[in-house]
Amino acid sequence: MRRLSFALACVLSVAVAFPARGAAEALVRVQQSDGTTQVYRNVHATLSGTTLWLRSPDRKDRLQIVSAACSFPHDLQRCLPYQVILHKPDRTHQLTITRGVFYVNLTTEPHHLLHSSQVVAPHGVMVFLHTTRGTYVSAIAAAEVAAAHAHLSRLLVLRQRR
Amino acid sequence: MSRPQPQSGFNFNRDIAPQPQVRQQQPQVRQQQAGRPARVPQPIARGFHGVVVHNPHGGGEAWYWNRGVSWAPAPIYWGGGFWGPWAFADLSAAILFGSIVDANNNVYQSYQVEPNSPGAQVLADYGLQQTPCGPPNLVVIWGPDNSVICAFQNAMVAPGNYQIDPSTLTLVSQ
Repeated sequence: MRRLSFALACVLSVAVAFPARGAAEALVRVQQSDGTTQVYRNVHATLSGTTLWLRSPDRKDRLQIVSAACSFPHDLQRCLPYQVILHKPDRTHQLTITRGVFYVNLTTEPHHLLHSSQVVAPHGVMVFLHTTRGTYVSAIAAAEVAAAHAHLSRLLVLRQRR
Repeated sequence: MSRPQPQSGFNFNRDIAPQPQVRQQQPQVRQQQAGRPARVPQPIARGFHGVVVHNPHGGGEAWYWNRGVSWAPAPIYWGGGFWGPWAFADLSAAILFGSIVDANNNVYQSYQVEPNSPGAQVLADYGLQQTPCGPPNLVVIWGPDNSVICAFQNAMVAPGNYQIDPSTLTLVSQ
């Protein structure tokens, strides 16, 4: 049983460290420092390990959000974004962020963010960023964005039962 | 004012515009009874080669505490985010908890540990209570990226310098 549990843990680590991929539509909100806000629907979101890729509705731009320091406070995976790169068709720009947070719900149940009424849907992803220029970015990709992580949830459940 | 953008690229024009010449402000931090910074002879030892104080709640296996997922520091956060989501650029959200000065007069600021962080789990596992760094005879714990916190001694952990092995959440004396 212990050997099985260890094997399961190894599979789990590899699966998270060497990413399963999942894709879905996301809602992205960008609030500029002057208060104007752009809301982007039909954003294509791809989760690759702890990096979230967001592709603009016109499919030309991609926002790459790289995070680390992932842990599991309560039922959500929480990571800290540290690098954000905007890929335009002709150029790449690094956006300097002051802070951010990145939640992934690997389970099949919705879960509240800590001290918040905000809910992360099953297999959903939620990202919040604040740039040094005062721009707030939020991205919510509910349901199926982390569909490829579904097998991880099952592994987690199995592991917790043992 | 919210503007839907049905078929457009991302607008980060303010963020990608050339950097204006502005004087950078020092982050303001709330300070909590930080005493005179303690001088420690050798604050940071590299590698884990001291006496291990076994984590009483440890599973032994690497990354057992993180569901088997390895933890790596995120560069723009104090302690890589081990003690909480405290970004260097916005330490106003963190509570300053004293500091440590090494033999070369380098000052290492310490901040209050976030309750849901891996660092908080270390404190809970060892039954330690964080206290501002500064006074003598404290448990001084060095975390990732030259971060440091202090705690009162208890029956399990004597005063002195320790380093955390993040893979097993164990304290290693220096």
